[in-house]
Amino acid sequence: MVATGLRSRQRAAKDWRRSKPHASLAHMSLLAWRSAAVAWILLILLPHGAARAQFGANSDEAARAATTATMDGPAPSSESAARAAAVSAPQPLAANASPPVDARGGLPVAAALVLGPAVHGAGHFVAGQTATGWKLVAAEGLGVLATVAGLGALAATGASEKTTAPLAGLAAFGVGLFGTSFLADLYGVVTPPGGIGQPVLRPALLAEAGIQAVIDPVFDYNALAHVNGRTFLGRHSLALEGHFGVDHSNQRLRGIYAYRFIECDAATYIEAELGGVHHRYALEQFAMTFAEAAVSGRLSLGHVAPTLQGAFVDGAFGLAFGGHRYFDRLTESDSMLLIRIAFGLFIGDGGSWTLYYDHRHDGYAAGLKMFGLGSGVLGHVGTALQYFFSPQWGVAVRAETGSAHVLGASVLFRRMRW
Amino acid sequence: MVKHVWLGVVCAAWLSACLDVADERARVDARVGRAERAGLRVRVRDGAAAVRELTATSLQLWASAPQLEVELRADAPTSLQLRIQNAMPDAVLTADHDDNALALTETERERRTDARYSIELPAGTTTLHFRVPDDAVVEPFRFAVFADVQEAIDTVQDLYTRMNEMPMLRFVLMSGDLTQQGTVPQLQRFQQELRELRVPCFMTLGNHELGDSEDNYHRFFGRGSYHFVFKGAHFTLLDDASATVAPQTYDWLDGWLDQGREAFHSVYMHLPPLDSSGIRNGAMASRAEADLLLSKLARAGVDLTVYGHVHTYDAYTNAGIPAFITGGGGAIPERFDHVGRHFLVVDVDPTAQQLRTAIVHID
Repeated sequence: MVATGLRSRQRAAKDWRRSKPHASLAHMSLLAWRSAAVAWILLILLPHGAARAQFGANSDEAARAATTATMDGPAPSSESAARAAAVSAPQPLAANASPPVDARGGLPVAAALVLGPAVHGAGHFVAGQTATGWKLVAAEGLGVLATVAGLGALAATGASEKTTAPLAGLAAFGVGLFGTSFLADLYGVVTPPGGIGQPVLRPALLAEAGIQAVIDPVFDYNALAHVNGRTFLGRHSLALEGHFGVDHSNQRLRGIYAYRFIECDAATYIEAELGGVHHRYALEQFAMTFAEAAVSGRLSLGHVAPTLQGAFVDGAFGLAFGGHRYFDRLTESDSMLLIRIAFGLFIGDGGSWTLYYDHRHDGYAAGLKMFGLGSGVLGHVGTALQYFFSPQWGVAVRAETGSAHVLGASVLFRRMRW
Repeated sequence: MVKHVWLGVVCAAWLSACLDVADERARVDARVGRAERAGLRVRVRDGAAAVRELTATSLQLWASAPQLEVELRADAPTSLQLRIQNAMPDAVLTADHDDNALALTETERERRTDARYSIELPAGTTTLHFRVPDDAVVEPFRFAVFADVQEAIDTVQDLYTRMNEMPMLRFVLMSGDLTQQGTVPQLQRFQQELRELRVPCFMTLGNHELGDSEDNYHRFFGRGSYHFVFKGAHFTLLDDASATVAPQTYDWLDGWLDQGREAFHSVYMHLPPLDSSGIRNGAMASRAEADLLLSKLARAGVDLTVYGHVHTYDAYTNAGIPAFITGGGGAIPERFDHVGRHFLVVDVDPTAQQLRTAIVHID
């Protein structure tokens, strides 16, 4: 079959469109990322007494101290008891942060639940934590502004391919700020001072093995074996993840190298990520391969307010380029926008619970299907719980919803140093 | 015990939620073209027309294919007023009852696409055939494709005027987003504007038809997913307005792909399975489902795919199949692309299995 066309005008238009797309894309992406960083820093710098004064040089010292204690120092004795003690010793969330504050109470919780959806920070206002309340209100307002600006600009530009990435990033940042400020308000008035857990700083190895159930109306697979491992060497890390169909020939392999170029403490850092993912659907006769690059980070909310110690937000922004291979036919290129937003809290010694949004449209969960107009735009949502019941062993459960439901349970293993 | 039951209900609701967003529309598709009332039963073959009205003496159909075959079963003899809207201008109606041709009277058409007939319907089963005389002649012909009118319904006549000026245009295909929200008044307005088009418009729905109800569109214009053959060329329209295709529709698609395997076969849907700009993802919710669909189309030798949803024009390939995005019906245009309102014209030669495409700019 031959496809020809009288396309001189559109060809000229396409040539113009493709003249410098990536320069503007990269520039605007950088602007969006910088805006996000500035917004969080502004929140941190809002009146916070001692914490604000101490945030800075001391945090680096604390981080260095923590790093030295866990990574670079002489290997401890081989006695397991000493190792266990080193593992279980909670890492400082922020050595500079204010002492934890107890804002719990029935009334604050009720306010956070009833008034909170409209006024983020309502719980803290009722608890007398006015400064934190205003910060959360500011975060809510900023979130609304960013969302409206992002979505408005997307609509006004007709979702132009040149501006979609930064504008979608801005909108996602706004939604994330809006959602996490509500959850943070609730967290601050529900949990005890200091939270209910502590992070650990860069374990030498964190490994996971388990099984995942997939409910997908389109594909036949139902069960996957899942293995995942991440190892740190200084600030460098390498993560490898594999999914293997148990009842179907389906394999997904993903590898990510990351460098942690900013680290304030165990729960406040920014990383640069480079990696790749390959997903093979043998029976359906196609495969996808993408190379991906992203900037990701975690912010301990203890830097924002003393009542929020033990909670954190995650964010990631990046791009993936790759292609689809149709067996015995050909390969075609594709790209993806990578955005991830999460709110979480630490549980126990290095465990955590997170609620997240992931903009990926590949993988098993892929993008959300919805009734009405908006189906297909969003990625998937999920929640994950990790809990260590010993210095080395733990369990994890995960649930994701997108184009399919994914439910997983795993066993966790970690070593703090080699 | 009650607590466990509630937990089970919540889990079941979560597990089933949001995965079957297109399934109900597939079930509605299966019911299109069927009606029974006042001693009359209507069955339109392949659901190729929506039954807009059925009384003891009148039947109104909205055609979504160039040719129709309608089975009527009457409990008692009746004088039936038949109206077929969105009809091929040169289509002719014949009626068979027990292998005998029935006499019928055609009222002079006020509009080329609005056919009215009077039929003295005997008791029993009568089969109506509505088709163009040259339907079986495999020869080159021309059709147009457009999508994404949405809020620009006030200016859609600009497109129709240009289409009416085009010689040899046999029909128009519409790849969804007729309206802004899919409300009944908006669908009525779209239908009203179509009266000026001198050829029929066969369409599928887009995500903007789902803002008010899941089946408003079907009550007006019939199936979202269907297949027809014209002059030896196969046409498949798919409902992927929810960024996915219902499992039932995949089953139908397999059959349609088999039918068109050796012939010219083109497929139309609203969302591209894969956007030409993956970062934007104006596409299906799952990259894997997109690949699954495209693999099916490629293996069946589909020759052309045309999409809407993205408000620009683009020409690319997906799974090796020539693909066009033609979202220039007037909805908020994509900026910086210098395309504007437009529609696509396709000349097909089913014998040589060749096609030529041209973009017609309105602005």
